[in-house]
Amino acid sequence: MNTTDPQAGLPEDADLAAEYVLGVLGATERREVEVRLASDAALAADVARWERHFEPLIDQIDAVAVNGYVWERIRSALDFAPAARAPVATPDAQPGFWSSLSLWRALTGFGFAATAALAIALLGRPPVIETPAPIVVAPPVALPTPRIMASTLAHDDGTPGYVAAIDANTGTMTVTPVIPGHDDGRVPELWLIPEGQTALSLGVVDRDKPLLVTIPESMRGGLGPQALLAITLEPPGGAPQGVATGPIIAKGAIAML
Amino acid sequence: MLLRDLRMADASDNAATMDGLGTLLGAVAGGDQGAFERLYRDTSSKLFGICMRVLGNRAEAEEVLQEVYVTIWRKASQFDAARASAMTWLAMMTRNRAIDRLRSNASERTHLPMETDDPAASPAANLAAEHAEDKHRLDSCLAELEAPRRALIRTAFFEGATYEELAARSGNPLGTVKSWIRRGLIKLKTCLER
Repeated sequence: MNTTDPQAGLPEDADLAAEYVLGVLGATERREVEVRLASDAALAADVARWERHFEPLIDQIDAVAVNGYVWERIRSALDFAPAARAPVATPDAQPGFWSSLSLWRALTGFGFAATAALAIALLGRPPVIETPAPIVVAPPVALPTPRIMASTLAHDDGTPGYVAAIDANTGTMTVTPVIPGHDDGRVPELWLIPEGQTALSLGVVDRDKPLLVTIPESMRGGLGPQALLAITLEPPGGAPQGVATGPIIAKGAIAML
Repeated sequence: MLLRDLRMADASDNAATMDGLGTLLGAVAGGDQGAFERLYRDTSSKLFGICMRVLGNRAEAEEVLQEVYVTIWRKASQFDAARASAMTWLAMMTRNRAIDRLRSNASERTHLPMETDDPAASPAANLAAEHAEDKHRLDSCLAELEAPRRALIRTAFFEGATYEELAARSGNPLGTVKSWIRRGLIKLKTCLER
């Protein structure tokens, strides 16, 4: 076969429908096919037949979770009434929580600054009192100086996987997945790695909703800018004998705010 | 469960689901926003996976996904159950939009590796019989092609790669690649339709 001439040895009539469905045509040819499809019933039938032929390959493409704000954009593009929540939320998820996914998008977009802002929003306030607000509130006195820390645990490709906000005084940490993950049978486990030390397990966290983690008092000394937080994938129930066995899927340094 | 919902259509389409999607599309054509939301919940992660596979860029994939669902809302009445299953219609429309977006970008992807055969990617869980049969037929017909041609065809399908890109990526002359693919398609058609 002559391989120097692009047209050499080719079938007389290339199967345009097949080439279109396969996806090898350039922009101009694709447009030509799309224009013809409106009026050329034979071509449309050929395209439909090739689409059916190739459809099984679609099964081999993995589904990928979509950020909730995409649904909000679609609704807004269609002038629907404002959505109460993103449809990815299910009745057994915390209602309304993922509707604030635009917040998590902001985290993705703005990275650390937004993480810090979230940390302040979540932790930098005096404890909320659940009783009806009195008319006059005495100014809080002698509250300990907050020691607020934050971390963005990024995947290897740099995209944020989890954000953590820590109050080192109380040992309280919220760990929030930025994008709900896929369940592949393993569970994400959170680790604190103080400088020069081995990883300490902080337990299993959630793939699709925020979790409040209490850091044992004995570990709080390890918190600080020299420490790392990491997430590994472990068998259900967590790492056996407290030693990580799975790959690190996200990690990040801890920053003092 | 949330995650199970997200992964719907992930090789677990059964006949009931397919019919369900067709019914949903019918309701969407009638302007039923609840049905549209349900359709989105049932199909968006799969369609987003298609966008991501072709475009490889989350922001662009999200834009295309948005276009696709706006189109679904406006043109659901064009779905013809006699011609394609609902999932095929949705998936192919999504793929076409993603490829059109890819073509509108100047960016070349000539550095990417070719698709290799991935037999592990066919768990074929609870496929409806007819669907499984189609799948089996395509698999066995693809298997009749020589490996390099099969790799070209898989790469073209999964990534919407042009002849030019495939030539650059596989290190073969453009004419060779065109000829291999066109002949491969003819063999495939003969095999699939016999």
